[in-house]
Amino acid sequence: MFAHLKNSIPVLFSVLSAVYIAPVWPNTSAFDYRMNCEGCHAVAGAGVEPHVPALKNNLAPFLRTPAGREYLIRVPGVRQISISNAKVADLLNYVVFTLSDIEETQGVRPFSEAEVATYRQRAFLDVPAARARAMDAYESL
Amino acid sequence: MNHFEIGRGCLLTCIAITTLLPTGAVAEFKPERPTLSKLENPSPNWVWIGGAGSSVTLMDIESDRYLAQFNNGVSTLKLAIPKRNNEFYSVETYMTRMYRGARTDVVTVRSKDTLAVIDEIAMPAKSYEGMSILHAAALTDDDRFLLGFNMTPGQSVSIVDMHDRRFIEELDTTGCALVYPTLQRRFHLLCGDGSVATLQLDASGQLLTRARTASFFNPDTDPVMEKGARHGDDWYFTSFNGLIYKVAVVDGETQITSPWALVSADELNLQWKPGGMVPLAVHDRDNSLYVLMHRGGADTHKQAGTQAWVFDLGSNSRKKVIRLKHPTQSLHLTQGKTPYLLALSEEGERIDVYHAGTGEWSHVIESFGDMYPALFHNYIR
Repeated sequence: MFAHLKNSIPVLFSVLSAVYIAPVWPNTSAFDYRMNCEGCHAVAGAGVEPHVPALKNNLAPFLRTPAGREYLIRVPGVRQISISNAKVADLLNYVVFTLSDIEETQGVRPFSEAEVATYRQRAFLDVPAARARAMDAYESL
Repeated sequence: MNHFEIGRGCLLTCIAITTLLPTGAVAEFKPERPTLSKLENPSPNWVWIGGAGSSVTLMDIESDRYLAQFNNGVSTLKLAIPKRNNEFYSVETYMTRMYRGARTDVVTVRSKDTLAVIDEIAMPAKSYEGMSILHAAALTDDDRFLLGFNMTPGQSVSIVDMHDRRFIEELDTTGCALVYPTLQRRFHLLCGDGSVATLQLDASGQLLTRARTASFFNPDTDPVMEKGARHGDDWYFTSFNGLIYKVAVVDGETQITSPWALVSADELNLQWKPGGMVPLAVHDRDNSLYVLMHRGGADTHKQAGTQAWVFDLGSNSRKKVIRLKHPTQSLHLTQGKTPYLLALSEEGERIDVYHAGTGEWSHVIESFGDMYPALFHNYIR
């Protein structure tokens, strides 16, 4: 009774496979945050104390000095993620300007692709020492 | 069958046996005395089996004989076996309410022949927990310092002095993971940007040097698996697509040799790939690398293998293909005069044992105690 349908099965398959579209990931920094940061730094940068520092309202020491900005770009959790320099700049700006309160970031210059490209090339050999340098630079502001 | 039936069956059988037995046989019964036996005359085919369960079992692979077992807390297996003395180490996590409460991490020191706990050394309560992997703890080559990889998820390595029995320091290794010991007191770590970091300790366990190679693989296009195999002072790693990299220390510098391919162009088209929980094993004297292979598409690097391919590490050429009886998650080699290849099945319920030399199947081991086995360590290093 359904014999006439047999011939249409291959056709149905080819239609279905033509209709299947590979997933298109959202091209947003919110998505990049979810994929690359949120697993440890938690939703909206809340952090998991004492092991994972918060990102929300916790980055002030790193935003206003060259050593601090270099640290944010070269810290392995940022440097080693699989997105372009332009998208890293967007992601940093998202974390700094969207997740934190506006008072935290008053007068802070946004990160640019060029700034990310400059610092992202090389790995830190000693991350805690780099962090200490950034904190020192902030203290002496 | 219900209890009533068992009872009735026994009643009839027991009456029958009792009437038939001469009374003298009962009088000769001698109760056994519990004794403490020692593990004696160890064989190179004695192998520790463990993983995500909390028990670790010692089996004689050749005779399929159960030898011993110990409990390693609520941690995945992190075993370190010294080459020289009669003790061995296990990095273990304990919590006051088993899976909750205050956490303590220790290096437990056990006797190799009685498994008695000789000592324990407290270390920061942050040792790695996750998928079973051979590289979460190791000893420096001089047996002196235990290297315990931590992940909180911040990455660091705890250094414990096994001679003075004390925790020395925690070295930050952010961005680089696991420990692969080599020459003297050096160890490598694999880094997320496709490079290798090499740290070196001085004679007192303090950090002496820290270096990092250039990126040698691309984590986006063909990542290197973190499951390595050591041969001599060199470490071998495979990429998802079957490129083999050798990490060696030459004149004090870490060097990565240009990779060679496990698979021919034809085999690549047939989608032959390395994969599994422990996909690489080295036979030291034979200079051979055994690789667990399967056919699969992208991102199948954890898929069970159907064949073990054997390569000569001198010529980097394949000398044998062993067709495995069951899909296999982990490979292991014993290193004695009659070496065996162990193939742990995908579901972890059987270990097929092959003659490493010929690849011929020998026997199967089906009862070895651990619920989630994944890793093997030779009892004798």
